[in-house]
Amino acid sequence: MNETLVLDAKLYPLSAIYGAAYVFIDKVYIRFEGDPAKKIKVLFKAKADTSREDFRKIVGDFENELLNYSLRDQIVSSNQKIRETLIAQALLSALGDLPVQGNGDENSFVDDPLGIAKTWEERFENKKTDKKKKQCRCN
Amino acid sequence: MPLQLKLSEKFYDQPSLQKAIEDYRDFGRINYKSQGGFFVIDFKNIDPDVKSLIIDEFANYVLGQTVKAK
Repeated sequence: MNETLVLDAKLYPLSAIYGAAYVFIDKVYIRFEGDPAKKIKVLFKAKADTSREDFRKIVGDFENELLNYSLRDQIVSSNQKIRETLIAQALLSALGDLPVQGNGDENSFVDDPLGIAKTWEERFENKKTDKKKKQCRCN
Repeated sequence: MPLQLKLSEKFYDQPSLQKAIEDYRDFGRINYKSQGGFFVIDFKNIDPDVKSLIIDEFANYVLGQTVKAK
């Protein structure tokens, strides 16, 4: 027993046809022919122990599954931006607060153990006055 | 006369076909060539127990592998 379905590629995306076919490959032999951009032929061949009624039911179920997959495909593509935004927000919120650098104390910059916050005058003024004092003593 | 199967390259991909050939090698010698947009697959020295089924089963297997890969 054989049957052929000719599907319009504009109505049924190829991904949906693949998905529906995958559901049935354990029950019926399936082959694809034609042009994936225009008309896609799906050839069904009954397995040895399949009755005529069962075979017809399988082909009918395939068509329903195809509609199911096509609708799913449409919903997926129409909701893609919303889904991406939701995932991005979920990932950002999962990150939590960004880690605080240093010891976490907001005023820790006030401590200046290396003296890098001092101005040039503050750092070298004392040395100059010391030198002047020394010179004065000599004279 | 060897058994032969033609699968359109537009629907079936090469890595899936190669995987199927590897997985079916216990049943006989299977070779393929690319010709005019089709994979032409030859089956030789096929185990007589599976001879009547192998082409259809093999085609389904390649389809399954192709869908999995997509």
